Amino acid sequence: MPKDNEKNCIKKIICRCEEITEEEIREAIREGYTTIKAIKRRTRAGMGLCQGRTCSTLIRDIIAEMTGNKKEDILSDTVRPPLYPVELNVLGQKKIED
Amino acid sequence: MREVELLVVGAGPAGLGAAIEASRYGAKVLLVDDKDKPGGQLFKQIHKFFGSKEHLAGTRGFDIGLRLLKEADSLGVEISLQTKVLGIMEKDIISLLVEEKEMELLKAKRIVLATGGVEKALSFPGWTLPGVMSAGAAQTLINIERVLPGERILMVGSGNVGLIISYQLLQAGADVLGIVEAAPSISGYLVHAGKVMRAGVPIYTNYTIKEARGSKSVEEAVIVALDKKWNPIAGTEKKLPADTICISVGLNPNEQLASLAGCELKFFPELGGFLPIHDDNMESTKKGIYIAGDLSGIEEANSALDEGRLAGISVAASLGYIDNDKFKRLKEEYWNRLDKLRGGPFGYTRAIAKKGIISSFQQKEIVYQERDNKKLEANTKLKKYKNIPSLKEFQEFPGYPSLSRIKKGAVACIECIQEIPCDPCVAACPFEAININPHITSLPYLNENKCKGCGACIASCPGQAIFVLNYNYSSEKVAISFPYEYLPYPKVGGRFMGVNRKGKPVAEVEIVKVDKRANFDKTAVITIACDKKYINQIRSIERIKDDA
Repeated sequence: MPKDNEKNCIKKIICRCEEITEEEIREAIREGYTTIKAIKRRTRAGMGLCQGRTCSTLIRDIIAEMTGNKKEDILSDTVRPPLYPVELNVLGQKKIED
Repeated sequence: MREVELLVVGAGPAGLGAAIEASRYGAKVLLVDDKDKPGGQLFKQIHKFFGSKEHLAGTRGFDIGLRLLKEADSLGVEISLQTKVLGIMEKDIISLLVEEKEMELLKAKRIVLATGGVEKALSFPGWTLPGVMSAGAAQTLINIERVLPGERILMVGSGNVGLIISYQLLQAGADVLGIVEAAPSISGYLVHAGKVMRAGVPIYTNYTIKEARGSKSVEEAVIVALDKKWNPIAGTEKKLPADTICISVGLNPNEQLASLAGCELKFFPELGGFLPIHDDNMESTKKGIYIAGDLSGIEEANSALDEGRLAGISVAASLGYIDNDKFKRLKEEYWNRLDKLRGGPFGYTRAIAKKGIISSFQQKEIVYQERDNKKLEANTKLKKYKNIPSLKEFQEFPGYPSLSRIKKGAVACIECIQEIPCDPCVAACPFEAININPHITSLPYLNENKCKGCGACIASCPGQAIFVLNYNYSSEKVAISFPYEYLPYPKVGGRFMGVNRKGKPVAEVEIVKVDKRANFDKTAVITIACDKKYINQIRSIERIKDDA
């Protein structure tokens, strides 16, 4: 991946769903949030409609570049159900019976 | 609560393969997909596929999709569309969301996850402007929705996906201003690159996208050269008047459901990133959950289909529908087919990584890899190209006829010089003049004495890399035949600009034949007449624009 000029990223959005910029991600990493999970909680990146399907790879690249950590050691956030957005009245339709 | 024997998640080639094989041997299968049509990406693939006969090589992707759907239907596979798996909950209960409004809970004795891949994003200033999209999105627009995403396209990434979709955008009527590739050479197959280059599309290697500009949507793309450390070189910027920028920089396995289900993931960069590891039956670390297709590593449709079939027979065997001996035999057969597809220089890193998945499943140290690496490397001659090679280079390969043979009259000229898993030309030749031995990835060898120059091979080649040269067409002119897949077709007697392998105009030529016979499956074979000196140069004509 071509390296980015840090000055060039102020208005570059990384998480489109939550409109989180690259600068906000880099700021969080400088503050010590160096996992995808921590960055999500600090900045909301990955909390939106697509649940990080697009941005988590981009965030992993930025973490790897700034911390020198290997990409394979930068784990994705825990996946939880529901995998897709679902209306609450639909979610409440069924109850698990024994 | 409903209980099925096998739930397959994802109705692309891998999921269909698994569902078909499991139900062939008697399992009751429910196949779910979140889209409103089955087939995954297959129905977007309007090009002829590579592979061997058993992979229906030479058949267009959507036709393979139709055959699979028919087969699934005849075997009684139940397909539930617009159905999303929300999660696998306590007590292994699976929750489904049907048509966004209905929740369903069910249990499954076995699950095959075939959730495919997700296109990787690339962030650059302006990448959120309308007009920047993934290459796959552009392909959906042209081949499913039949809408042009724009008229002037910049493609980012020269892998097979980027090359194929650039070609299809040209077929749909757009102009492709260029393809940028950050690596020093074209990363996809040279034959795919050859198609777009003959149409005049430049490929900028060692280049990347710097910025997309525009007030409301893309009006201009800025590309920039990269040095050896992938840093942009100031002052090398080029501005292209693109209205659409397509991103084709690889895919990630869509691993979220596998992760949620508790399958152990490991990182394999050669296969796209984190993916669920599995054994040689395609079973994940979570017992009863099997993995297939791009989820188990980004490859292509043929491998996905065969992996799906392998997962399907494994499920059928584990449910007692196939006895051990037969299962062993079938399993070996599928592994042989998969090994073939992963042969050659392009498959070799994937082949190694795939072995790595299985050994990491067995928690074995990956010590034998180095040995296998060398063995595989010895069988491959990886040569990548920055550009279309020179005539001299083509002439060194076993598919290019000798000068003395060319002068004797009509003969095939096979410009296929990379070892890729493909062999339909062998079966297409009625005179057994083309051989591919000993591997399906070996280069085609032309027996120029057996070849009669009939041209039956031209349309069979998914890479469009076969031409027929007739030196003795008339006393002054030679005839050159080539495949052509753009509408409108030229008409006999028409005069057009003949172009070379890079799409550069060479000389005006006359169309002498347009062969559109049905078994060419929409690949027209055009024959032109031109001056004798161009016999080794002209390989196509300038694309005829609809509005011309």
